Amino acid sequence: MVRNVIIAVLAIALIVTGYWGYREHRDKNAVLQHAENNYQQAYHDLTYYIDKIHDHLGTVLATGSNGTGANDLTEIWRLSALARGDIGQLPLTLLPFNKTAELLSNIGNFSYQASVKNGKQPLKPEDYKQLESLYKQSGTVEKSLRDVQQVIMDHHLRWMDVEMALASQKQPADNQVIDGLRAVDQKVGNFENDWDPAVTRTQLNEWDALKNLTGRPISKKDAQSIVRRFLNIQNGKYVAEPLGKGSGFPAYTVTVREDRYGNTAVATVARKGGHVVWFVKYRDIKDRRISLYRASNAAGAFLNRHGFKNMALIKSDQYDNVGVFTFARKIGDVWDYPASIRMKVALDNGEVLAFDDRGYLAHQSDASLPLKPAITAEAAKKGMNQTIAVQEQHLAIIENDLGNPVLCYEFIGTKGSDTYRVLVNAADGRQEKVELMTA
Amino acid sequence: MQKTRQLVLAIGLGIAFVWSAAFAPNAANAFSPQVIQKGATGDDVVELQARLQYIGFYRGKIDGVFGWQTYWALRNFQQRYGLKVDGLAGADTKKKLVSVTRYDKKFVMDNIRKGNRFTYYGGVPLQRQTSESYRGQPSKAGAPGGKGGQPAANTAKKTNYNHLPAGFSQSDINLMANAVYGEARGEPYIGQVAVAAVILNRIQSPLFPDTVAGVIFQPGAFTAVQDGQIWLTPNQQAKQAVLDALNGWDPTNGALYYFNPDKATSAWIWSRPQVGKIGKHIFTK
Repeated sequence: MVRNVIIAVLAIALIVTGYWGYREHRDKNAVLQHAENNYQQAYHDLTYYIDKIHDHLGTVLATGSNGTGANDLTEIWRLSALARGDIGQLPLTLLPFNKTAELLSNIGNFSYQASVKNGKQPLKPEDYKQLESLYKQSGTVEKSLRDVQQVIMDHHLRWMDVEMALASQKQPADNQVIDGLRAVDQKVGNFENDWDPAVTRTQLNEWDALKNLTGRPISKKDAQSIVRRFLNIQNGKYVAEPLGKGSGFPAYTVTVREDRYGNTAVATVARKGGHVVWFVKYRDIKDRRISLYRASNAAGAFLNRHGFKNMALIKSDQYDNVGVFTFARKIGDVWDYPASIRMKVALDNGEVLAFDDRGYLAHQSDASLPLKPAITAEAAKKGMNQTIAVQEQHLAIIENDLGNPVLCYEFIGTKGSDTYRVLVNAADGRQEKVELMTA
Repeated sequence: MQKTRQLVLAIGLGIAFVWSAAFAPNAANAFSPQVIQKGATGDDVVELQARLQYIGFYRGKIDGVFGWQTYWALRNFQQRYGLKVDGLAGADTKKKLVSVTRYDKKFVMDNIRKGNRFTYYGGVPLQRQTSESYRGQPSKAGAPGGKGGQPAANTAKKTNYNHLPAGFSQSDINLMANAVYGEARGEPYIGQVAVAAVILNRIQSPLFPDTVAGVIFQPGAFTAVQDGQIWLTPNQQAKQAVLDALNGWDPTNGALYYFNPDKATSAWIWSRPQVGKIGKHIFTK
């Protein structure tokens, strides 16, 4: 009797567990399937967009940039953004798929410059050359991605497996999708990319510009004493390490430990000329004792002390008990915005806690630009939206969309409750940038 | 526009005059001695905005953040009263401001703490200038703390002023703080700034998505996202690290990847050109 009861109870328990297990399994599969479907959609969309981009590039080659060609270029610009979005949704971070992503980015930048920025002007011969090359490259990518798509469809391959293979410790060598995509990337890489440097430019290039620094090379020891002078920390343990090859410019990283307070400061010093590129010191910051105004004076005094002359404070911000300041170099009465220095100052005692002058170092050559405006401020103002009431104006050097320094009239004006910054090219009166100032 | 402004000004001045005659010693509990400059946050900025609003120069929100709108209001004030027009609230400017306006600290600070929508124009009864009466729900005023309002903000002694780096929202910062905390909570501070800087470098790079969320949620990009540790509650230090990175500090010197050499065995990541090691992470381009 007892035995039968036990058997019955166990049997019920087994059935319940089995049902529970089945449901868990079903739910898990549903989640996995959902993720897989997202990946599949992203990939299919990607191939579709690249098809379309290829077609539109072909059309532009036949029509030129004005008229219908301009529409195609705008469409390419839009499609390349969508395609890049799809790449971002695929588990490709650890896969060499860089070249393809870069190609898409270049296609996008090129079509933007050629259509939106150029307006109605016809394409230049060198633009055609670049178009031609993009057309060929996108054709190759299109075909290769279609091949991979075919393999995926034929063999019922799953992106989830790609993700697993990439995440696993072993070398993901025998996954057809991975191999296929790697091949795509290699093909893109085989093209001789003679990009106009402007097309691929980002702010990250400032780091690369630092390799053009000049000056006597310094030793590890020199780097330490430079940082000691800069930070004025006497009782600290200094360690200097050379930066790896990936940094793009030869430099040392100097770490300072103040064991007495448990504080650490880290700095990077360029090997050529011994310029401090940045430093960050971390410590607890007590309650605010000094004003943002006094802190900005302290930051200015620090710059003066370390030989940065003619710097103008262009931006100050308070975040709780720290102040963050941006200074720009002044060349005569021209504000050189790209040549900027950023500083963070503690508002408990006015100590400079962080410093960054890579913009300043990377834009030394701006001083050699011709700094005489070709048009008057009044003429420059004419092209502006007349409902903006100009409150302040001066000459400034900015970096335009192509990454080139240009001399501009800067107008700071108000419209309703908003403040705008309008930059008008001082050579030809073209509006380079209009910004809504939010902070 | 100009006319109404002058009218408001005239009314404001008239009332201010009557008031200052009646409550002459109210200047005693005004501004702290600091010079207030653009970009500042805090109680002094609240007072500055409230006083400028009182006489009609400032029409924006009284939020304790010295932004552009406050800046222009202050300059207009300085110009109108024959002071040096420099956009700084120094001793002379503050003295003049105190002498021509009245500041009801309790009213203003209470409204800020409660997160009410309110204004502080001179000559308009204060009860008509807060959102409680805007809503016209007298029943709520009876219940202290207001269920529909912000109960938590009431208890905090220090008022926080929301000041963000240009181009980023509070949720961007929170999301990044989550990612940094999930990825690098055991790392030294500089290592946390470095992780935040890598996220920002990726946004800049053509190889990666262009948004904070796009970069963070890219499949396989961050282990903390994959295993859900990103949803831990970040601490203050992680937020500070994100703020430093947003303000332009990059301890990685422009790196796009990082990995923990004890865990990562992907040959590809090892093949990337290395920049340096911070804490447990090796940063690469």
